[in-house]
Amino acid sequence: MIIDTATVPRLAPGCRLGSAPGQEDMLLVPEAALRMKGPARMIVERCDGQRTVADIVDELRGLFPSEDAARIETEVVALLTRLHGRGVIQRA
Amino acid sequence: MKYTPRALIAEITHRCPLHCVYCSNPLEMQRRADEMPAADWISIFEQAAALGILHLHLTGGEPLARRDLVELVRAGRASGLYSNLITSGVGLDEARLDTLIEAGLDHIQLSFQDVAEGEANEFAGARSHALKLRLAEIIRARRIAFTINIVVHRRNLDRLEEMIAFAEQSGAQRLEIANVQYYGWALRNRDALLPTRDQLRRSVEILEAARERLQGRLRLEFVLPDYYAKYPKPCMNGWGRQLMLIDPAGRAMPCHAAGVIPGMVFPSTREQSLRWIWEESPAFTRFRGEDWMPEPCRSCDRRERDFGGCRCQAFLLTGDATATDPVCILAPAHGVVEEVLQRVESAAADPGWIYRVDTA
Repeated sequence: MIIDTATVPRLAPGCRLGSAPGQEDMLLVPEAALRMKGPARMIVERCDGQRTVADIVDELRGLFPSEDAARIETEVVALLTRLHGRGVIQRA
Repeated sequence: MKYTPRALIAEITHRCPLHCVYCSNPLEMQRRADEMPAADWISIFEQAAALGILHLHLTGGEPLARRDLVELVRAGRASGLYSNLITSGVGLDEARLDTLIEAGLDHIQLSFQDVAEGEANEFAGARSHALKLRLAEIIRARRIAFTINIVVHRRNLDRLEEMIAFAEQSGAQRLEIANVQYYGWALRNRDALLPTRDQLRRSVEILEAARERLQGRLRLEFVLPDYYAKYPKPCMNGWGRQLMLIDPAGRAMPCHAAGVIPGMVFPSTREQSLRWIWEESPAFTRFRGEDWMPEPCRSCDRRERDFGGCRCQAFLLTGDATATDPVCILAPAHGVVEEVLQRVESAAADPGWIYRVDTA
């Protein structure tokens, strides 16, 4: 699967962001936890099976208006591609 | 140096309908009458989350043997823990699985003993294989993370390709191929279980090719038999660094096997807080860090990578828990391991199994 701006990503079964105090940046997956800092967490929490990658990119551009718009898209796609390879993100 | 525990292994019961010839539970098991009630476990889960623990592994014995399992799963989730059920499947059906998922179970790890039914039942000491196949179908139809675990050894390692093919079509996202580790009951059957060097070499080739081919579809993890390794495994990622195990009666230990080490006093979670146990108890600090290390570990460049190997294995094979793990080629006692391996290569007849009789 290739992740592009039309993809509707969601977290795979058994993958979720931490909820306990101090765990908010942890993406909990079977047998591991991946630390999702700042923007990475913002991206992952928007992978709800409703938004497209394009929607997520737009929202991040709104949150980081001084960042280069093209770079935001590149980074969102790169992160989701990496997480897909790890089995954490799937297509809704 | 302060360490944060990350995983809690909750052995909620030692009762089990299987009698695997490589059972990892201690030789002396906790009895049903000594099992902690749910309320004690729930307090442990709350303390665990506050200490920084992320993953809760509900295991046994067979965790499904406890009727209050769903209550434990619900409490784990309420505390913020990620819960994984490590099970043989015996005691599970569609309705119970739905209840567990609804209560917040994140991940289920279903064990298989083989892909060949006769052998699977032989190694398990129970007719459980057909049930496991049905359960895999039930699990795949639900939205829950699914891992298949197959313990491998000399008598089934030659069916590795069939095992991988089975996992591929099972709907699981992960496959763990775990060579037997020689503790608990497995040590009793070691000479019948240890694969030959040739078997091991072929299995590594198969696994590496499969890992490449299945990338993005099935995550493949494997545990090698450390007797064949050049250097020891970083057992538990270091004593008292990441993991806490609590047995059915509430005794806290740094690993599954630590009970074999003489003189260790394991603190009770019914008497002490998890924080004290983790940070200060003699059991958890005994081999933490490097102060306990003998030579050649003390001056070895690898000491930060493998922590001197496994303390329990050191004791089981040398009688001294502070010795360098004898699987290490640099260990003074490495000859003990060499001797076992030579015996495996020259073994003409199969010694047969010693089955464990369940007394829990």
